Order: sequence, then structure tokens, then C-alpha cells
Amino acid sequence: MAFGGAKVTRRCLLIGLDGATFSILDPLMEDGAMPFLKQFVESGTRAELHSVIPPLTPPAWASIMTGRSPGNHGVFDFVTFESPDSRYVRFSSSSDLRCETIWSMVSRQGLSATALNFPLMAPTRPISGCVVPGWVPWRHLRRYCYPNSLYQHLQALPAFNVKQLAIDLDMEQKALDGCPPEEQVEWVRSHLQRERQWFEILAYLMRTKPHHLTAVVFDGVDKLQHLFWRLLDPACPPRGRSPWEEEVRKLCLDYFRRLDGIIADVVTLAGDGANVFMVSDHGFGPSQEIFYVNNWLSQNGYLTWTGNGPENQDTSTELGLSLGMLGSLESMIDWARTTAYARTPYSYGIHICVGGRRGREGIHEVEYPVFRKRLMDALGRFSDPKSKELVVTDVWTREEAFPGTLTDLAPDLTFWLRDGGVPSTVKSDALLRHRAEPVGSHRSKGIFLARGPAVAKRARLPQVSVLDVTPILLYALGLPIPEDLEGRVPPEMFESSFVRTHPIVTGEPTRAPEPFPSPAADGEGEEEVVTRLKALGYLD
Amino acid sequence: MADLTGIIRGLTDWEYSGSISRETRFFSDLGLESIDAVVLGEAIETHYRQRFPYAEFLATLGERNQRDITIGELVDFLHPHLNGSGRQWPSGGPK
Repeated sequence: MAFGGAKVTRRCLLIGLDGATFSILDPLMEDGAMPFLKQFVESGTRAELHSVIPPLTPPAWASIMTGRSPGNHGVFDFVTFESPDSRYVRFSSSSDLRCETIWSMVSRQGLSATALNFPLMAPTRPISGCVVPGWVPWRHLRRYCYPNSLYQHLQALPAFNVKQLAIDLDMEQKALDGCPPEEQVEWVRSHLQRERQWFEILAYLMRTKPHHLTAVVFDGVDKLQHLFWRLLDPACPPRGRSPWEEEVRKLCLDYFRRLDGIIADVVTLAGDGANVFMVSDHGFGPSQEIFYVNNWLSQNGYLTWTGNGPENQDTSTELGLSLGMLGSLESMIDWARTTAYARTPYSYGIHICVGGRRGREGIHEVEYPVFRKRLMDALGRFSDPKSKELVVTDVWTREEAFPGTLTDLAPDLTFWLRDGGVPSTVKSDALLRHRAEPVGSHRSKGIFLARGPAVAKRARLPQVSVLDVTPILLYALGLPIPEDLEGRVPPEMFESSFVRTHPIVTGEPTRAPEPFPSPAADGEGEEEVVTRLKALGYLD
Repeated sequence: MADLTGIIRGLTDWEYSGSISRETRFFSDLGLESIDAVVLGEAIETHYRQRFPYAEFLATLGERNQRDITIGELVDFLHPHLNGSGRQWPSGGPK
């Protein structure tokens, strides 16, 4: 069937650009640094993509992959409590994602998928297709490639380098906590190398094992924007840039130029018949302020420090993101004299200690509603000691921020700050600090772009949600939309002739994944995968 | 011990070819990094299809002077949970 001269096939390409935002991409397209993206945007559909609360990578990608909100899929942060009665945390993983992914929905309806570099995919669950998970340290990557035999094929690729490909937590941390000047050039280059590594795998799989849905995340955009926002945002005045900064800016622009080339190559490989979608998990903006949330809790009588552990009086960029900090918070807090605390910076969340929930210490269960309201009001009243302006612009209860079946796993309160900055959980002598230079931090509005034979030409939609991505992809693949998905398919995103002949059909609900993934055995072939999927109830 | 050795030997492109005993240390002997020890917990839990208070175990070890972990310590930690004498999660499973 032909629409606009091109054949419509059941093939879709999803390109994830972690943290991409129009306020950076539009000027880059106008200045000629991203010519392919400019052409793509001009000929397809564009919209702002609204993220989850708070706009954070794991819950946002989880919503993109499942069409469900955090209160239902169960991922709220990079880390999660390791049990219902524990204050200790571990990294969030695929076992915490309690809703079916689009890769599984596609597989059980007779189609196949490739998913590369998505978070929360390890340990890998069986699908009809291939998975190389993101956010996995290099030593663990072979174990988590799906099928297991895939890693041997990747190793045989001429430029394959697992250390360049996999996440490096030290490198990740430098995006947020700062990177020494002497390392910055190599730091930017390493992100380009990573994108190239993922592209080589993607190109290999698209040529040798093409699937109906091919999806990849390129995550360097997020990292460069965090560290070098001041060099990328045209709204940041260039006066006063040192020659060194000009050099780093050139490298960043080169990253975006080369990323544009990678995107062009991937779209070309997908072919004219494929419908192509590009999304980011959240947007970005400048921030120059650090709010020391645990210090605020301490000064307001909710938290007591033990005196153990590092104090952060001099390094104003330290947010408390390191593995060491996550562990040491346990010994830094006097739990017998603490009723509320923030576990991680990026969750923007505050946990209330209720006796009997996670330890004996805390308030009585019956006090909870009144206590939470009092804390919520106090936090919302916190103002800048100098300007007297309110610092905390929003405070939500978990029922407000995360409605769903898994609300109880979320922080008791979630807040947002006036300049969109990331709070710090470390002990400090201050409540607020101003950074010397602006950095990039997450915002709600990301990007949504689409182009292809079924997609409306030169259309601009006011707004799409991360919850809509899975329904949109299923529709473009010719599959029904499970009735329990929370997003929708905006009909105006597609050619009217396509919508007329392809009605949006609602189908059976999704199937919850088993608690622990059952990884494929070595050498498991497609037939065995189908058998296994059937045995697991994924295929009829 | 054999299960654990198998899980550790499943690491990607791992150069270690020596024997693994109860006394073998994660960082000094096997050359692993702290992130590897953290992520290994998920692999162990997936293998046994049950949760362990692994983060608590690592945090407790982090508070002592000797920061390295021996294979024997990990085996001793897992053993009571595998034979049912360790602390059980209220839900009987993950979450």
C-alpha cells in the first residue's frame, strides 16, 4: 500500500537521544551543525515531549518503553530499596520494571525487535529479537546480551571495544560533579566513541538480523549538556570564554555534527519504507543553584547527622551521586533522631521514616498524614535568605506524583526547584549555594520527531507525552493498543489517508513480566526462543 | 561456591585464569572494581531467583577497615538465605 509515493511496511525505527532539547537542537540545525536533523524535522512531524515527574532518565525511559507511568511500572530512580523493610538501596534493574515492555508486546504478537542501550533491560528478558542493554558495566555485558550468543558476534566486529561501549560510572559522575579541565577533551571524545560503538552494533544488526522494530539510545547528548551547557546554549553569553573553552565548545559542536551523521546513516539503513521516530526522555535547561535538602531537613528538626562521613563544605558541585555516598548515608544519619531524609539527589524525593516500615525508628503510622502535610508546607515555604524568593516551587505527595498500583514504593514527597537544579544530599554548611557557572539540568519538555510514509508531513503538534510513545509505535507497526496503556495515539501525527485505512484499535491488556527474568541459555536459537516465550505465556 | 565461581567466571573478557578459593579477594586478587561487586548482586539474585540483603551486606563490609571482600565471606552471607535460615523478605520475593 502506498502513501505519498512510498510503500508502507511494518517497520519502525526509534532513535532515543537522551536529554535532547529543542533549545539546543534548533540553533544547531539553524547553524548548519545538524543538516540531516534539520531536513528530517522540516519534512516530518515535531512536538514537545512531556516527561514524567521528576524528569529523570530511568522512570522516563521506563515510561517510553511501557506506555505506563512510574506509579504503575515501579521505577522511580536510578536506585531502589532492596526490600520492603530495608533502607539500603541497589541499582534499579529489569526486575523492578513491573510492566511489559514494547519489545515483549511486539514479540508476543508475532513481530520482532532490536533494543540497544536502553536502561532497565538487564538482566535481559527473552524477546523475539536482540537486546544489548544500556547502563551495564563492561565486565557484565556479555552475560546480559540477548541472545547470549550475540556477544560473540559483536566481538567479531572490526571496531568493537566493550570498554568504550559500556557505561563507565566514573565518567557518568563527571557529567554532574564536574570534570577536571585536563580531562575534558578526552571526556567529550569518549562520548563520541561510545555513540560510534552503538552505531556499529546497530548497523550490523540492521544488515544481518533486521527486525520490525529497531530501537537505540544515544546518551552522550545528556552528558555534554550537563557539563557544558554554558558553551552550548546560545542564551549563555559567549563573552569571557577562554581559548580553552572555545576549544571544548568546538569539540562539543563536532560531537553533535557527527551524531547528525550517525542519525543520517541509521535512517538510511532503515530504508524509505520505515517510519522513524526520535524521542528524548526529558529536556534540559540551565541551573546555577544547589539546594542542600538534607541540611534543610536537619536545620528544621527532621534529620540528625551522626558526625560520621564526609562533610562537603568546599566542593560546591558535589551532589552526593557517588556509590560511596549512597552507602555512607546510612552511617551519616542518626536514625533514632531522624524522621525524614533524601536518599538520592536526582529523585527530588524525601522519605519519611515510619516506625516499623524500614527500621524501628520514625514516627507512628497514625501521625503520618499530619506529619507529611506539615513537612510539605514547611518545604514549600523555604525561601532564599537573600532575595526572600521561594526556592521550592512544587511539592507533591506520592499519591499526586505517582498514582498507580506501586505508589507505596515512591518517595513520600517529591519536590521541584525554582531554577530546575538538582538538589544535593550531602552534608554542608549551607542550605543554598550558587555555582560560578551554569550547568545543565533536566527539564520536563523533551523532543518528539517523526518521519515516514505513514507520518504527517510538515506537522507541528502542541505536545506529546512519554506515555504516548509505546502506543504510537504499536500503531505504526499495525498492532492493537493494549487497553491498560496510559498514553494515546494522536491521530493528527499520521497522514489522514493512513488513519482512515488503519483505524486505531484497542486490544487486550499487557502481561506483567515474571519477577525474575529468565535469561536465554547459550546458543538458544529463534525456535527455542519462541518455545520459551510460549511457555512463559508471552505467545499464544 | 561452585555456583558463585561460575557466575564470576561469566564476566566479560575477564583475564583472570587462576583458581578461585574461599580466600580469593574480589578487588586485590580478581582485579574487579566496586561497581562490579555491586552489579554482581543482581546476577546472583537472578541465578537463584530470590532476593538477598546484598546492598546491606556490601555496606556493612564498607564500614570496616578491610575494604576487600573474599569469596568465602560472600558464600557465608548467601548460605543461610539459600537454606532458609536467613532473614526472609515480608513479601517472600522481590518487592
